[in-house]
Amino acid sequence: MAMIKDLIFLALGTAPSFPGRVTPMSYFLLNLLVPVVLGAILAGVTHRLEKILLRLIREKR
Amino acid sequence: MESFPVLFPIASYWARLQGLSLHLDPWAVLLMAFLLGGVTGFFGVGGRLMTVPLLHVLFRVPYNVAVGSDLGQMAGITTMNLFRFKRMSRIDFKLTFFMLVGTIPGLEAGVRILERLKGAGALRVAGITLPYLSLVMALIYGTLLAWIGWIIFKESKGPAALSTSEGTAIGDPPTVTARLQHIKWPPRISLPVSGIEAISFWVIMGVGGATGLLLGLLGAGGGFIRLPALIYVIGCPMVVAIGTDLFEGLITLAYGVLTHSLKGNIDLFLTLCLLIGISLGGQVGGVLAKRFADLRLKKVFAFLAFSVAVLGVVEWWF
Repeated sequence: MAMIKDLIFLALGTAPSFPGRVTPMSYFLLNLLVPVVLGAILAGVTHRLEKILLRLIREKR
Repeated sequence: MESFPVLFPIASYWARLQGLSLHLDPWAVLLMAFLLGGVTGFFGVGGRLMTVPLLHVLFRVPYNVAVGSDLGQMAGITTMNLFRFKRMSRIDFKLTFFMLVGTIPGLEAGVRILERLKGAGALRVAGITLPYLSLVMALIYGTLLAWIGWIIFKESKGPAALSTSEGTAIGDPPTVTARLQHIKWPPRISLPVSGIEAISFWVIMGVGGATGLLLGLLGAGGGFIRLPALIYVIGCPMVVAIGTDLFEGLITLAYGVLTHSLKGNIDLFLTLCLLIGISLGGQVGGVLAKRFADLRLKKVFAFLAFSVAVLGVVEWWF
């Protein structure tokens, strides 16, 4: 957990924390790429989740 | 460099600047996002529109960060939906291009209005200090949620109640949109992929502009305007509308993330919590809707929408 927190801190350390500071490109790329990649992963996860839930509902019926 | 709380540095910074006492807990945000995703999945509309006001009311997240982070999670959700619906949809690239001509300036205008509000200071009324940003956002969100709540409430009474309202019955395009469809201002464009012989460029640009403005200012709202507009105003077949909506949405959101990032409005960890919660909740809600679909349950949604609308205003006094 501590390592994850450190990594997040490192990543977010590049963020524009106050007005007037130039935003580094890495901040924009992180904000766009991380959700897009996670979205692609979640497409598979939610597809499986849907199958499991539908099977459960059918069994209950 | 000033040090910030590890998980939500951007939200913490803006909260401090706007005098808000932020109390963000990742698990609580995940739970809220899961429930909102569930509401959206179950009722098919509106749950995600509650994200921004609830982030502000429950966790005191500044509106600009809530809007930016919500827009970020939408990039993830749109990618997810593009992957999931790629076999069921087709993209009209020509239509996407012309829509973007309206969407990008609209989005930028929305973001700039938000920026102006962010720096506009506060209003003092009867001893209460109301930042203009919170005031305007609460009023816009309150109005939108009350309107959606009212439509869903009428829907809960069955199709008979809807037939008297303006064109909300299924398969019957609303009067206003039917009028828009018949605007003949030049230049007129043909869209062979969508099977449209000629449509005014200004109609396409108007749809894009309205969607972009809502997206930039509220961080939500694009979806519930764009998809119906593609079907009813522009006249796309459902298959093309879904694909074009997602593809155009992703390009618009990429620009939205860029412009909100440059203004320091996106908190990445908040975005990720929202994305995971909403996507999983949406799936559960969607499956539950297949099992327990009941018109009367829509009253629950209407009550929820009205409650969030009222909460946004009541919080000024606390």
